[in-house]
Amino acid sequence: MRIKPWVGITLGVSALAVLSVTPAITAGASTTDHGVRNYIWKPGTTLPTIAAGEKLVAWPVQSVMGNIQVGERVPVLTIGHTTARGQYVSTATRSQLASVTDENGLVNLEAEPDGCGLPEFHQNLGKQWTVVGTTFVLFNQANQDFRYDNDQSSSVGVGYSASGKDGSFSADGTTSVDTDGGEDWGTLGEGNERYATYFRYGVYETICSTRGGSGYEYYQIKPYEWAAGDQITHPNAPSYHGYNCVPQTHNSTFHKYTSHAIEFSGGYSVFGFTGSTQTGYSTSAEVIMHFYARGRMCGTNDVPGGTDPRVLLAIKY
Amino acid sequence: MKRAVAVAAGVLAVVGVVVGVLVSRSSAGPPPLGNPASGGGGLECAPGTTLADGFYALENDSGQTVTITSVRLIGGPGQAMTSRAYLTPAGPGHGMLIGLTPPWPPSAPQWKQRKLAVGGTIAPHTWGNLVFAQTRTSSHPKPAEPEITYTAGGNNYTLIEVVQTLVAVNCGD
Repeated sequence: MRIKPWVGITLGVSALAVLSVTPAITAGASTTDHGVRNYIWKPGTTLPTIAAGEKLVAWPVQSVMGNIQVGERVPVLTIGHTTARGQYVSTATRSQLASVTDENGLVNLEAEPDGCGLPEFHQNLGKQWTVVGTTFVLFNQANQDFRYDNDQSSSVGVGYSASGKDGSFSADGTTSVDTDGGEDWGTLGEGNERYATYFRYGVYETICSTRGGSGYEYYQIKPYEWAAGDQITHPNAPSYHGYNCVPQTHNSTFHKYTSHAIEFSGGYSVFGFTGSTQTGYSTSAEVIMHFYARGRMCGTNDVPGGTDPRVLLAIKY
Repeated sequence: MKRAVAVAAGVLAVVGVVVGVLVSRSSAGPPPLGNPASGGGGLECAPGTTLADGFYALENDSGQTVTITSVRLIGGPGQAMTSRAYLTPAGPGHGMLIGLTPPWPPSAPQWKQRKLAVGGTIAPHTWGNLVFAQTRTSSHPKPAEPEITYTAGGNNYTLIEVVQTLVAVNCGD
């Protein structure tokens, strides 16, 4: 039976508190061989569901992750576990929880079996281009600019493998990475633009034991820090509906601060694994479009001023 | 981040035997016109003095009819709403929005189908384009955003758009 821990805000209140439990359905991450799942969690919201005999661990913030060397252990923090009788036990204090919360208020959680130890930084995969945004200007009387400001968070897909071999990894939830600087891909004219920046990735090995005394290990590909840099590629333009467009007058400008953004299924590729990426957990990614002549601006999913326009296009009137 | 409040707070006055009690009633689920605070902010700027501000789509995602009770422009010193607010047809089958653009009154064909926003309704699962005249009243104006109050299903709601509009002398970065 899967057990839903009570809302996460209670975690910081007391250590070792046995909390009431409610059956619930797991959402947000696929389940791997050993039930390992990764989540981005905001303290105060409902925690992910874990089963009896599982624990929730929080991975360190980027400033800690970036200083861990190959062969060293990752000091993950166990924030709670579910007993065999189905009770969730919180084991993190408020200050402990604060230490694993990034500047955007997010915690990278992993659900794993109780018998697993600290992960080891197994292999450094180095810098990989990681897609964080896209915009389109489809006529020659407008320009576009994508900016990725200080403390922007991106959600990055995690790879999981039981063997750790190249090409054996599959998707297993997401983790967040935030920036400690900004990136501006520059003002661009007509074109189909997809913006990428460097993140550094590693393979992390976790060794677990079972009650019978046998052991097993699993491996995960995760980003451990943002490394700046900018790259632009040129995808095909998406389709849109005219009712998601607004006219833009001569010399008008539109700024959009993205807290929702498109998910890129091929956001990065490394070690035979292709992971997803999504920008927009905070609002410091910005799209700017300037129209030198009358035109139209459209969203692929909503009007440009709406809740979730996703991709923005500037087109001829 | 831009300010945003979308609060469902139906108020039901219940007079008891001894005292009167004010009860705040909230609807279950999201507000019928959505919660723009969940989408991040933005700024639409166009040069001019008086423009049609038809930048906002009011999308009724609920199964209840929305009735607009007030529209006003907030924030933005140097920006003023200088006409009554109207609703024109929008959404699938109705072409693009009117936008923040000259002239006022709008030249878009859907303007002929306008109705007054206050007292006007938006049927379930349909859209309305909010349109009003926005005038720059200084040479250094600040962005503004509309605040819309409405009722649906017996509840009162307030919607403050988080993408702001600005009628400016020039729109620079």
